[in-house]
Amino acid sequence: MPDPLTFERVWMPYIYLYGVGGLCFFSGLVLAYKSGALNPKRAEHRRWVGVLLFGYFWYAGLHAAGILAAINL
Amino acid sequence: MFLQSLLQQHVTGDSTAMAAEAAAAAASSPVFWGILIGYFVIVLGFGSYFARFNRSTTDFFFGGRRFSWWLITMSIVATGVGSHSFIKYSGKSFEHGFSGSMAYMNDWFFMPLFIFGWLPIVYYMKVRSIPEYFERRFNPTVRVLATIVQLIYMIGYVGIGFLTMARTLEPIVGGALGWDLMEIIWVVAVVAGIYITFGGQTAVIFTDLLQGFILLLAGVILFMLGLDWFGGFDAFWSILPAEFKLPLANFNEDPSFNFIGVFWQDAIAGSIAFLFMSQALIMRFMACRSVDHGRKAATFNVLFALPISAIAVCCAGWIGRGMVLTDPGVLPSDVAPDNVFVLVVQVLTSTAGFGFFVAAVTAALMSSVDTYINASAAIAINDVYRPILKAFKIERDDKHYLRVAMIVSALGTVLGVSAAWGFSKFGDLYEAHAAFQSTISPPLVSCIFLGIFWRRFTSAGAIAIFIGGVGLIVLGNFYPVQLIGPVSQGIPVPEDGSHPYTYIGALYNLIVCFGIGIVVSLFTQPKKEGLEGLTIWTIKDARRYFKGGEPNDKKGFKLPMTWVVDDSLAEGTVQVDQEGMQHLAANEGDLVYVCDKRWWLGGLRSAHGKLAGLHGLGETVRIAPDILEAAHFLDGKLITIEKEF
Repeated sequence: MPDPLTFERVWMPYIYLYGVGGLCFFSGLVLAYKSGALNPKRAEHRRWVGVLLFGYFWYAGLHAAGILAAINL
Repeated sequence: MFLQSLLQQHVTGDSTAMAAEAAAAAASSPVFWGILIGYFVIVLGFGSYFARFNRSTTDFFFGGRRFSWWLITMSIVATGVGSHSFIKYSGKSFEHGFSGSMAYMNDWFFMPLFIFGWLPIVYYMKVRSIPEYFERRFNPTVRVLATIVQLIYMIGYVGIGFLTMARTLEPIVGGALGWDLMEIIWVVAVVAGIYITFGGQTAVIFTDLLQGFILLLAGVILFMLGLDWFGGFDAFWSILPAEFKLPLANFNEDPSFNFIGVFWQDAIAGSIAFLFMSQALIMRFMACRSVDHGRKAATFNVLFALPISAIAVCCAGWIGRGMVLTDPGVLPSDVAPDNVFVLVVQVLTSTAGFGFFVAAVTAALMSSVDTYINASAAIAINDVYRPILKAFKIERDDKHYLRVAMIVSALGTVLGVSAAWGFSKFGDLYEAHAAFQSTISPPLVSCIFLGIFWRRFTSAGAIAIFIGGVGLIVLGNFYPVQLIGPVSQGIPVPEDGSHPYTYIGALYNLIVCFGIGIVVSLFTQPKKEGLEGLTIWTIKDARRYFKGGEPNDKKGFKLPMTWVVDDSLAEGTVQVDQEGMQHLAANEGDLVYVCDKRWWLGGLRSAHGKLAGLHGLGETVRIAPDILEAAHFLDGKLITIEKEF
């Protein structure tokens, strides 16, 4: 029986999710900045950028932890 | 006894009969009925209590724009988890493992555009509905198209909600009370209809708080009971195969369920639809006391509430698979995915506990259906009734629209029941609605997205998306291999002859809709005027529009104060003394939010006003009579005042 836990099976979805999804995410931040909707001079906006970045890495961390737990524990 | 009966039935392998028997057995417990009836009584009580907070259509549809983020978060959770969620995601998770929860864990990618773009636009521009945005951004033709589409979609959704709920309850109450499907639908509809008709958005938000809490608690309790059944988390985890535990599905091998397809269908198309297209969600955010509270509600929902919701709705599937692997006598290995939730609940709980889980599923239905009935009524009033009266130059005051809104809510409930009846009698109608939804969502999503983020996008482009996009989507359904195949990224065509590219079709739909919109816009003249505040590029105008003047971003403080009504003040105004003005960092004409000091009311007793002049009463806010009427302040209770921006 072939090993189901190949690199492609385990990590490709993750790379695609945070690669293509990340492209959408960071493009959104750039668009918000370029359009002036995100004004870095406002403390409130800087705080929200921090929250958004936290969220991206929070989910990336959750999924990575889930994958590592699945293959190692 | 139950285990015995389950074991006996396992021999026959008829899991549907097992689920039906398990449900019917639960209905014999008086505690079960106590929980269920108690739940309905509480929900009705909420409706009648909150009816007093509806003085205007703004109250009825947007809860007076007064609520705190945590109330709105719970309301979004309750709306997002539908009656079918427990059944559907338990089944998916039983079949595909932890990757069955993917749909709940990939909604973050469009948050920057939502938080800095769409949310401030709808809030500051006071957009009451998606069709209204379409008229302001494009023209009245696009509004008419969007109104028709949204009403069909939402009434259909209400019908599907009623039907799913009735089918879940049928094995339980059908046996005990002898009710048929339509009788169950009518009972649920009458309860939901009453509290929505009289309570409006405020009742919806507060019942959602209760319902969201019940359904999350039910899911978490079920997971805990499941872990206990295995003897702890380690025992549960060790019995599951590694592939089952992976949180993301296979990349593209399985045509029926693969990561690539779910990514484009859910993380991209679904997330945009959820954040940008949902009338229900817009109304939730419009009910927030400020844009900042809307941002908090959205982020808290996606960051924390959705992962908990994922556990709540999927865990029965994970536990069920573990049971099959641990002791094949408990559940048959070939159990139908739709029966997993009921059977796992039955194995893990007593009959009384079963009542709690049925209440949770009922809560999931009511909290989704109530939202869509209220949202349908909002569109019927704002996008159909008001424009018709305006066309005939008939003027009516807001009290009139409020009365009509209540009648329309009741009518919406009846239409939802009719739709449920249609779906139950004609399976094709159910499929037609699903097909309608999947066909019409991409054009709506593309129009909104391009409308917000691309100034050059034209009305002709929007109409072309509705006509040409829908045409190409339908064509893609007939010729999937030729049209969707090139973007399928290696997903194979199923060998059993079933329809290919179930999920990845979303990518094709988005490409054709965006493509048509962009091409047509490049060859037509864009709107030169009237875009102020309606796109991300003109968002600064939105704040000016909201305030009616230049925003004051100087940071001030929230102040606790007493309050007094002054009949001489102009409508919608409040006054503080000189010192109060300085602490607020406010000027005359700035917008303020006054609220009962008790945070746990979530803004229920609060209102917005405009600063007008100064008084010499010290730490007291002087408020106009209409502010008191809107805020429902109680005598002797302190309030807080803060500048909006």
